[in-house]
Amino acid sequence: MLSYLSEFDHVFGPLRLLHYITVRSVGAAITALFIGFVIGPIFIRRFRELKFGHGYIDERTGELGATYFDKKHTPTMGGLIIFVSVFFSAVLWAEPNVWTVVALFVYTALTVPGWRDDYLKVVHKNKDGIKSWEKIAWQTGATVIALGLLLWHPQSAAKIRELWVPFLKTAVIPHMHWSLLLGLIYLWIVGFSNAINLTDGLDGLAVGCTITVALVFGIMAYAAGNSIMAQYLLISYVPGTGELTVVCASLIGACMAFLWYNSHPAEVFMGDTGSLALGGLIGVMAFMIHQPLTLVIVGGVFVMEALSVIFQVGWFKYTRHRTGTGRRLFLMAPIHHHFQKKGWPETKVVLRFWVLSLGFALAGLATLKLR
Amino acid sequence: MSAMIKALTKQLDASLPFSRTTLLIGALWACAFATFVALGLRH
Repeated sequence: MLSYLSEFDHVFGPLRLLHYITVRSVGAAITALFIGFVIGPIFIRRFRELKFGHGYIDERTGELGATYFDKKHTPTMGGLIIFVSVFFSAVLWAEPNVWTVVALFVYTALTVPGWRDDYLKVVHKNKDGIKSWEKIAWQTGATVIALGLLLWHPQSAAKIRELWVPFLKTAVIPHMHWSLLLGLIYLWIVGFSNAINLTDGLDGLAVGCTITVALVFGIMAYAAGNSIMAQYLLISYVPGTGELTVVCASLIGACMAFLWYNSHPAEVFMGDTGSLALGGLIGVMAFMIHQPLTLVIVGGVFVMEALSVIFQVGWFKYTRHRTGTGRRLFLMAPIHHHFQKKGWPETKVVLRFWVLSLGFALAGLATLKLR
Repeated sequence: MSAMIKALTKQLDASLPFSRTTLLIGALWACAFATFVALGLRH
Protein backbone atom coordinates (compact mmCIF):
# COMPACT_ATOMS: atom_id res chain seq x y z
CA MET A 1 0.00 0.00 0.00
CA LEU A 2 3.07 2.24 0.18
CA SER A 3 2.61 2.79 -3.56
CA TYR A 4 -0.08 5.35 -2.74
CA LEU A 5 2.63 7.56 -1.23
CA SER A 6 4.02 8.10 -4.73
CA GLU A 7 1.07 10.45 -5.32
CA PHE A 8 2.70 12.82 -2.84
CA ASP A 9 5.92 13.17 -4.82
CA HIS A 10 5.24 16.90 -5.21
CA VAL A 11 5.70 17.16 -1.42
CA PHE A 12 8.79 14.94 -1.24
CA GLY A 13 10.40 14.02 -4.58
CA PRO A 14 11.89 10.59 -3.73
CA LEU A 15 8.39 9.27 -2.97
CA ARG A 16 7.94 8.88 -6.75
CA LEU A 17 10.23 5.84 -6.51
CA LEU A 18 7.42 3.98 -4.74
CA HIS A 19 5.54 4.02 -8.02
CA TYR A 20 8.03 1.54 -9.51
CA ILE A 21 7.39 -2.19 -9.09
CA THR A 22 11.13 -2.92 -9.14
CA VAL A 23 11.85 -0.58 -6.22
CA ARG A 24 8.92 -1.94 -4.23
CA SER A 25 9.97 -5.53 -4.98
CA VAL A 26 13.42 -4.90 -3.53
CA GLY A 27 11.78 -3.23 -0.52
CA ALA A 28 9.40 -6.17 -0.12
CA ALA A 29 12.18 -8.75 -0.24
CA ILE A 30 14.29 -6.85 2.31
CA THR A 31 11.28 -6.30 4.59
CA ALA A 32 10.28 -9.97 4.48
CA LEU A 33 13.88 -11.01 5.09
CA PHE A 34 14.11 -8.65 8.05
CA ILE A 35 10.77 -9.78 9.53
CA GLY A 36 11.78 -13.43 9.07
CA PHE A 37 15.11 -12.86 10.82
CA VAL A 38 13.43 -11.04 13.70
CA ILE A 39 10.48 -13.35 14.28
CA GLY A 40 12.33 -16.58 13.42
CA PRO A 41 14.10 -17.05 16.79
CA ILE A 42 11.02 -15.82 18.68
CA PHE A 43 8.73 -18.31 16.93
CA ILE A 44 11.23 -21.18 17.23
CA ARG A 45 11.69 -20.53 20.95
CA ARG A 46 7.91 -20.39 21.41
CA PHE A 47 7.37 -23.56 19.36
CA ARG A 48 9.95 -25.35 21.52
CA GLU A 49 8.29 -24.16 24.72
CA LEU A 50 4.96 -25.41 23.41
CA LYS A 51 6.61 -28.65 22.27
CA PHE A 52 5.49 -28.17 18.68
CA GLY A 53 7.90 -30.85 17.55
CA HIS A 54 7.17 -34.43 16.68
CA GLY A 55 8.79 -37.55 15.38
CA TYR A 56 7.09 -37.69 12.00
CA ILE A 57 10.40 -37.65 10.19
CA ASP A 58 11.22 -41.00 11.70
CA GLU A 59 7.98 -42.47 10.46
CA ARG A 60 8.31 -41.03 6.97
CA THR A 61 11.88 -42.20 6.55
CA GLY A 62 11.36 -45.66 7.99
CA GLU A 63 14.71 -47.41 8.55
CA LEU A 64 16.53 -44.16 8.15
CA GLY A 65 14.93 -43.06 11.38
CA ALA A 66 18.13 -43.52 13.33
CA THR A 67 19.87 -40.73 11.44
CA TYR A 68 16.97 -38.44 12.20
CA PHE A 69 17.00 -38.75 15.95
CA ASP A 70 18.24 -35.20 16.28
CA LYS A 71 15.20 -34.04 14.33
CA LYS A 72 12.66 -35.74 16.49
CA HIS A 73 12.28 -32.71 18.71
CA THR A 74 12.79 -30.07 16.03
CA PRO A 75 9.68 -27.92 16.06
CA THR A 76 7.42 -27.80 13.04
CA MET A 77 4.90 -25.10 11.95
CA GLY A 78 7.79 -22.98 10.65
CA GLY A 79 5.49 -22.13 7.74
CA LEU A 80 4.08 -19.50 10.08
CA ILE A 81 7.40 -17.61 9.91
CA ILE A 82 7.15 -17.53 6.10
CA PHE A 83 3.46 -16.62 6.24
CA VAL A 84 3.86 -13.68 8.61
CA SER A 85 6.88 -12.35 6.69
CA VAL A 86 5.19 -12.62 3.28
CA PHE A 87 1.86 -11.30 4.46
CA PHE A 88 3.19 -8.24 6.28
CA SER A 89 5.67 -7.37 3.57
CA ALA A 90 3.26 -7.88 0.65
CA VAL A 91 0.45 -5.86 2.23
CA LEU A 92 2.94 -3.07 2.90
CA TRP A 93 4.65 -2.90 -0.51
CA ALA A 94 2.22 -4.30 -3.10
CA GLU A 95 -0.40 -2.13 -4.74
CA PRO A 96 -3.85 -3.54 -3.92
CA ASN A 97 -5.56 -5.02 -6.98
CA VAL A 98 -7.61 -8.11 -7.65
CA TRP A 99 -4.53 -10.24 -8.45
CA THR A 100 -2.64 -9.43 -5.25
CA VAL A 101 -5.80 -9.72 -3.13
CA VAL A 102 -6.62 -13.16 -4.51
CA ALA A 103 -3.00 -14.36 -4.19
CA LEU A 104 -2.84 -13.31 -0.54
CA PHE A 105 -6.33 -14.66 0.10
CA VAL A 106 -5.41 -18.12 -1.20
CA TYR A 107 -2.16 -18.04 0.77
CA THR A 108 -4.00 -17.14 3.98
CA ALA A 109 -6.89 -19.53 3.39
CA LEU A 110 -4.52 -22.47 2.91
CA THR A 111 -2.27 -21.57 5.83
CA VAL A 112 -5.19 -22.22 8.20
CA PRO A 113 -5.78 -25.94 7.38
CA GLY A 114 -2.02 -26.53 7.21
CA TRP A 115 -1.61 -25.00 10.64
CA ARG A 116 -4.54 -26.98 12.01
CA ASP A 117 -3.07 -30.17 10.56
CA ASP A 118 0.28 -29.54 12.25
CA TYR A 119 -1.41 -28.46 15.48
CA LEU A 120 -3.49 -31.65 15.71
CA LYS A 121 -0.46 -33.80 14.91
CA VAL A 122 1.94 -32.28 17.40
CA VAL A 123 -0.23 -30.94 20.20
CA HIS A 124 -3.08 -33.44 20.24
CA LYS A 125 -0.79 -36.27 19.08
CA ASN A 126 -3.33 -37.08 16.38
CA LYS A 127 -1.20 -38.90 13.78
CA ASP A 128 -3.63 -38.29 10.91
CA GLY A 129 -3.98 -34.55 11.48
CA ILE A 130 -7.09 -32.95 10.05
CA LYS A 131 -9.60 -35.15 8.29
CA SER A 132 -9.15 -35.54 4.53
CA TRP A 133 -12.58 -34.10 3.84
CA GLU A 134 -11.75 -31.04 5.92
CA LYS A 135 -8.55 -30.41 3.98
CA ILE A 136 -10.39 -30.91 0.68
CA ALA A 137 -13.15 -28.58 1.87
CA TRP A 138 -10.61 -25.82 2.67
CA GLN A 139 -8.86 -26.26 -0.67
CA THR A 140 -12.15 -26.34 -2.59
CA GLY A 141 -13.52 -23.35 -0.69
CA ALA A 142 -10.36 -21.31 -1.28
CA THR A 143 -10.33 -22.19 -4.99
CA VAL A 144 -14.04 -21.42 -5.48
CA ILE A 145 -13.83 -18.05 -3.70
CA ALA A 146 -10.60 -17.10 -5.50
CA LEU A 147 -12.05 -17.98 -8.89
CA GLY A 148 -15.31 -16.26 -8.02
CA LEU A 149 -13.45 -13.04 -7.25
CA LEU A 150 -11.39 -13.30 -10.43
CA LEU A 151 -14.46 -13.92 -12.60
CA TRP A 152 -16.41 -11.18 -10.88
CA HIS A 153 -13.84 -8.40 -11.05
CA PRO A 154 -13.71 -6.53 -14.38
CA GLN A 155 -9.90 -6.34 -14.34
CA SER A 156 -9.55 -10.12 -14.31
CA ALA A 157 -12.87 -11.51 -15.58
CA ALA A 158 -11.82 -11.97 -19.22
CA LYS A 159 -8.10 -12.52 -18.72
CA ILE A 160 -8.40 -15.38 -16.23
CA ARG A 161 -10.41 -17.39 -18.77
CA GLU A 162 -7.53 -17.55 -21.25
CA LEU A 163 -5.39 -20.68 -21.31
CA TRP A 164 -1.82 -20.21 -22.51
CA VAL A 165 0.86 -22.85 -22.96
CA PRO A 166 4.61 -22.45 -23.45
CA PHE A 167 6.06 -22.09 -26.98
CA LEU A 168 2.82 -20.71 -28.46
CA LYS A 169 2.20 -17.06 -29.30
CA THR A 170 -1.54 -17.06 -28.70
CA ALA A 171 -3.97 -18.47 -26.17
CA VAL A 172 -4.85 -22.13 -26.78
CA ILE A 173 -8.30 -21.54 -25.31
CA PRO A 174 -9.27 -17.85 -25.42
CA HIS A 175 -12.43 -18.25 -23.35
CA MET A 176 -12.37 -21.24 -21.00
CA HIS A 177 -15.56 -22.45 -19.37
CA TRP A 178 -15.53 -21.61 -15.67
CA SER A 179 -15.91 -25.26 -14.66
CA LEU A 180 -12.79 -26.27 -16.61
CA LEU A 181 -10.90 -23.36 -15.10
CA LEU A 182 -12.08 -24.31 -11.61
CA GLY A 183 -10.94 -27.90 -12.14
CA LEU A 184 -7.54 -26.84 -13.46
CA ILE A 185 -6.83 -24.30 -10.71
CA TYR A 186 -7.94 -26.82 -8.09
CA LEU A 187 -5.70 -29.48 -9.60
CA TRP A 188 -2.71 -27.12 -9.61
CA ILE A 189 -3.29 -25.94 -6.04
CA VAL A 190 -3.76 -29.45 -4.64
CA GLY A 191 -1.04 -30.96 -6.82
CA PHE A 192 1.64 -28.44 -5.90
CA SER A 193 0.61 -28.39 -2.23
CA ASN A 194 1.15 -32.13 -2.07
CA ALA A 195 4.33 -31.97 -4.16
CA ILE A 196 5.90 -29.37 -1.84
CA ASN A 197 4.75 -31.42 1.14
CA LEU A 198 6.55 -34.48 -0.26
CA THR A 199 9.66 -32.44 -1.05
CA ASP A 200 9.77 -31.12 2.52
CA GLY A 201 11.63 -34.16 3.79
CA LEU A 202 15.20 -32.85 3.98
CA ASP A 203 16.59 -29.72 5.60
CA GLY A 204 16.25 -26.74 3.27
CA LEU A 205 15.14 -28.75 0.25
CA ALA A 206 11.56 -27.53 -0.23
CA VAL A 207 12.21 -23.94 0.75
CA GLY A 208 15.33 -23.68 -1.43
CA CYS A 209 13.41 -24.92 -4.48
CA THR A 210 10.54 -22.53 -3.63
CA ILE A 211 12.98 -19.60 -3.85
CA THR A 212 13.92 -20.47 -7.44
CA VAL A 213 10.25 -20.88 -8.41
CA ALA A 214 9.38 -17.54 -6.81
CA LEU A 215 12.31 -15.88 -8.58
CA VAL A 216 11.21 -17.11 -12.00
CA PHE A 217 7.56 -16.28 -11.33
CA GLY A 218 8.58 -12.81 -10.17
CA ILE A 219 10.30 -12.22 -13.52
CA MET A 220 7.37 -13.72 -15.45
CA ALA A 221 4.82 -11.67 -13.50
CA TYR A 222 6.78 -8.51 -14.25
CA ALA A 223 6.88 -9.37 -17.96
CA ALA A 224 3.17 -10.28 -18.04
CA GLY A 225 2.23 -7.01 -16.38
CA ASN A 226 4.34 -4.86 -18.68
CA SER A 227 2.75 -4.23 -22.09
CA ILE A 228 6.07 -3.50 -23.86
CA MET A 229 7.83 -6.60 -22.53
CA ALA A 230 4.78 -8.80 -23.12
CA GLN A 231 4.53 -7.56 -26.71
CA TYR A 232 8.25 -8.12 -27.29
CA LEU A 233 8.26 -11.62 -25.79
CA LEU A 234 4.92 -12.51 -27.41
CA ILE A 235 3.48 -13.57 -24.08
CA SER A 236 0.09 -12.72 -22.66
CA TYR A 237 -0.26 -9.17 -21.35
CA VAL A 238 -2.26 -9.25 -18.12
CA PRO A 239 -2.67 -5.70 -16.73
CA GLY A 240 -2.02 -5.49 -13.01
CA THR A 241 -0.15 -8.77 -12.61
CA GLY A 242 3.14 -6.88 -12.37
CA GLU A 243 2.20 -6.37 -8.72
CA LEU A 244 2.59 -10.12 -8.21
CA THR A 245 6.33 -9.47 -8.62
CA VAL A 246 6.15 -7.74 -5.24
CA VAL A 247 4.39 -10.77 -3.75
CA CYS A 248 7.05 -13.07 -5.25
CA ALA A 249 9.80 -10.81 -3.89
CA SER A 250 8.23 -11.02 -0.42
CA LEU A 251 8.16 -14.79 -0.80
CA ILE A 252 11.84 -14.86 -1.78
CA GLY A 253 12.81 -12.73 1.23
CA ALA A 254 10.69 -14.79 3.61
CA CYS A 255 12.01 -18.10 2.26
CA MET A 256 15.60 -16.84 2.54
CA ALA A 257 15.03 -15.96 6.18
CA PHE A 258 13.36 -19.31 6.79
CA LEU A 259 16.20 -21.14 5.05
CA TRP A 260 18.58 -19.52 7.55
CA TYR A 261 16.88 -21.51 10.31
CA ASN A 262 15.88 -24.51 8.19
CA SER A 263 19.40 -25.19 6.87
CA HIS A 264 21.09 -28.37 8.04
CA PRO A 265 20.79 -29.17 10.93
CA ALA A 266 17.33 -27.61 10.89
CA GLU A 267 16.09 -25.61 13.87
CA VAL A 268 12.56 -25.64 12.50
CA PHE A 269 10.51 -27.38 9.80
CA MET A 270 7.90 -25.62 7.68
CA GLY A 271 5.37 -28.43 8.15
CA ASP A 272 1.99 -28.52 6.44
CA THR A 273 1.54 -24.89 7.51
CA GLY A 274 4.14 -23.94 4.93
CA SER A 275 3.83 -26.57 2.22
CA LEU A 276 0.05 -26.44 1.79
CA ALA A 277 -0.05 -22.65 1.53
CA LEU A 278 3.06 -22.25 -0.64
CA GLY A 279 1.71 -24.82 -3.10
CA GLY A 280 -1.59 -22.95 -3.24
CA LEU A 281 0.08 -19.59 -3.74
CA ILE A 282 2.35 -20.62 -6.60
CA GLY A 283 -0.43 -22.73 -8.13
CA VAL A 284 -2.89 -19.86 -8.30
CA MET A 285 -0.24 -17.36 -9.44
CA ALA A 286 0.62 -19.63 -12.36
CA PHE A 287 -2.90 -19.15 -13.73
CA MET A 288 -2.94 -15.42 -13.04
CA ILE A 289 0.19 -14.77 -15.12
CA HIS A 290 -0.88 -17.31 -17.77
CA GLN A 291 2.01 -19.70 -17.10
CA PRO A 292 0.32 -22.82 -15.67
CA LEU A 293 2.32 -25.32 -17.70
CA THR A 294 5.55 -23.39 -17.20
CA LEU A 295 5.12 -24.10 -13.49
CA VAL A 296 5.44 -27.80 -14.28
CA ILE A 297 8.87 -27.01 -15.80
CA VAL A 298 10.00 -24.40 -13.24
CA GLY A 299 8.81 -26.51 -10.31
CA GLY A 300 10.44 -29.58 -11.88
CA VAL A 301 11.88 -30.77 -8.56
CA PHE A 302 8.44 -30.73 -6.94
CA VAL A 303 6.96 -32.58 -9.94
CA MET A 304 9.80 -35.11 -9.85
CA GLU A 305 9.24 -35.76 -6.14
CA ALA A 306 5.49 -36.22 -6.59
CA LEU A 307 5.92 -38.47 -9.63
CA SER A 308 8.45 -40.63 -7.79
CA VAL A 309 5.83 -41.39 -5.14
CA ILE A 310 3.10 -42.00 -7.74
CA PHE A 311 5.34 -44.36 -9.77
CA GLN A 312 6.63 -46.13 -6.66
CA VAL A 313 3.14 -46.81 -5.32
CA GLY A 314 1.72 -47.57 -8.78
CA TRP A 315 4.51 -49.99 -9.72
CA PHE A 316 4.31 -51.70 -6.32
CA LYS A 317 0.56 -52.25 -6.64
CA TYR A 318 0.85 -53.34 -10.30
CA THR A 319 3.59 -55.91 -9.66
CA ARG A 320 1.83 -57.19 -6.56
CA HIS A 321 -1.33 -57.65 -8.62
CA ARG A 322 0.55 -59.38 -11.46
CA THR A 323 3.09 -61.50 -9.58
CA GLY A 324 1.90 -61.54 -5.99
CA THR A 325 5.03 -59.75 -4.82
CA GLY A 326 5.22 -55.97 -4.88
CA ARG A 327 8.39 -54.51 -6.38
CA ARG A 328 9.83 -51.04 -5.94
CA LEU A 329 11.21 -48.74 -8.63
CA PHE A 330 13.26 -46.70 -6.15
CA LEU A 331 14.98 -47.75 -2.95
CA MET A 332 12.63 -45.34 -1.23
CA ALA A 333 10.17 -42.61 -2.20
CA PRO A 334 10.05 -39.60 -2.41
CA ILE A 335 13.12 -39.69 -4.59
CA HIS A 336 15.42 -37.68 -2.28
CA HIS A 337 15.35 -40.65 0.13
CA HIS A 338 16.36 -42.95 -2.74
CA PHE A 339 19.64 -41.06 -3.03
CA GLN A 340 20.09 -41.03 0.73
CA LYS A 341 19.69 -44.81 0.69
CA LYS A 342 22.38 -44.92 -1.98
CA GLY A 343 24.72 -43.31 0.52
CA TRP A 344 24.62 -39.63 -0.45
CA PRO A 345 24.85 -37.36 2.59
CA GLU A 346 21.76 -35.24 3.23
CA THR A 347 23.47 -31.95 2.38
CA LYS A 348 24.71 -33.38 -0.93
CA VAL A 349 21.21 -34.46 -1.91
CA VAL A 350 19.82 -31.03 -1.01
CA LEU A 351 22.52 -29.09 -2.86
CA ARG A 352 22.21 -31.27 -5.96
CA PHE A 353 18.44 -30.85 -5.96
CA TRP A 354 18.93 -27.09 -5.70
CA VAL A 355 21.20 -27.29 -8.75
CA LEU A 356 18.44 -29.23 -10.53
CA SER A 357 15.94 -26.61 -9.43
CA LEU A 358 18.11 -23.84 -10.90
CA GLY A 359 18.31 -25.82 -14.13
CA PHE A 360 14.53 -26.15 -14.25
CA ALA A 361 14.24 -22.43 -13.52
CA LEU A 362 16.49 -21.58 -16.47
CA ALA A 363 14.53 -23.95 -18.71
CA GLY A 364 11.33 -22.23 -17.59
CA LEU A 365 12.77 -18.80 -18.32
CA ALA A 366 13.85 -19.98 -21.77
CA THR A 367 10.21 -20.66 -22.64
CA LEU A 368 9.63 -16.90 -22.47
CA LYS A 369 11.71 -16.36 -25.60
CA LEU A 370 11.06 -19.60 -27.46
CA ARG A 371 7.77 -18.83 -29.11
CA MET B 1 -18.05 -7.04 36.22
CA SER B 2 -14.43 -5.87 36.29
CA ALA B 3 -13.49 -8.97 38.27
CA MET B 4 -15.09 -11.11 35.60
CA ILE B 5 -13.17 -9.26 32.86
CA LYS B 6 -9.95 -9.68 34.83
CA ALA B 7 -10.61 -13.40 35.24
CA LEU B 8 -11.39 -13.76 31.56
CA THR B 9 -8.23 -11.85 30.61
CA LYS B 10 -6.16 -14.07 32.87
CA GLN B 11 -7.73 -17.16 31.32
CA LEU B 12 -7.09 -15.76 27.85
CA ASP B 13 -3.44 -15.06 28.70
CA ALA B 14 -3.01 -18.61 29.93
CA SER B 15 -4.71 -20.28 26.99
CA LEU B 16 -3.28 -18.25 24.09
CA PRO B 17 0.10 -19.21 22.70
CA PHE B 18 1.07 -15.56 22.05
CA SER B 19 1.08 -12.41 24.13
CA ARG B 20 -1.62 -9.77 23.98
CA THR B 21 0.82 -7.36 22.28
CA THR B 22 1.36 -9.89 19.49
CA LEU B 23 -2.38 -10.33 19.16
CA LEU B 24 -2.84 -6.56 19.02
CA ILE B 25 -0.29 -6.30 16.22
CA GLY B 26 -2.10 -9.16 14.48
CA ALA B 27 -5.45 -7.40 14.84
CA LEU B 28 -4.03 -4.14 13.49
CA TRP B 29 -2.57 -5.98 10.53
CA ALA B 30 -5.90 -7.72 9.95
CA CYS B 31 -7.44 -4.26 9.66
CA ALA B 32 -4.67 -3.27 7.22
CA PHE B 33 -5.40 -6.39 5.17
CA ALA B 34 -9.13 -5.60 5.19
CA THR B 35 -8.29 -2.16 3.79
CA PHE B 36 -5.99 -3.81 1.23
CA VAL B 37 -8.82 -6.11 0.13
CA ALA B 38 -11.33 -3.24 -0.04
CA LEU B 39 -8.96 -1.13 -2.13
CA GLY B 40 -7.96 -4.04 -4.32
CA LEU B 41 -11.49 -5.14 -5.15
CA ARG B 42 -12.99 -1.71 -5.85
CA HIS B 43 -13.94 -1.25 -9.50
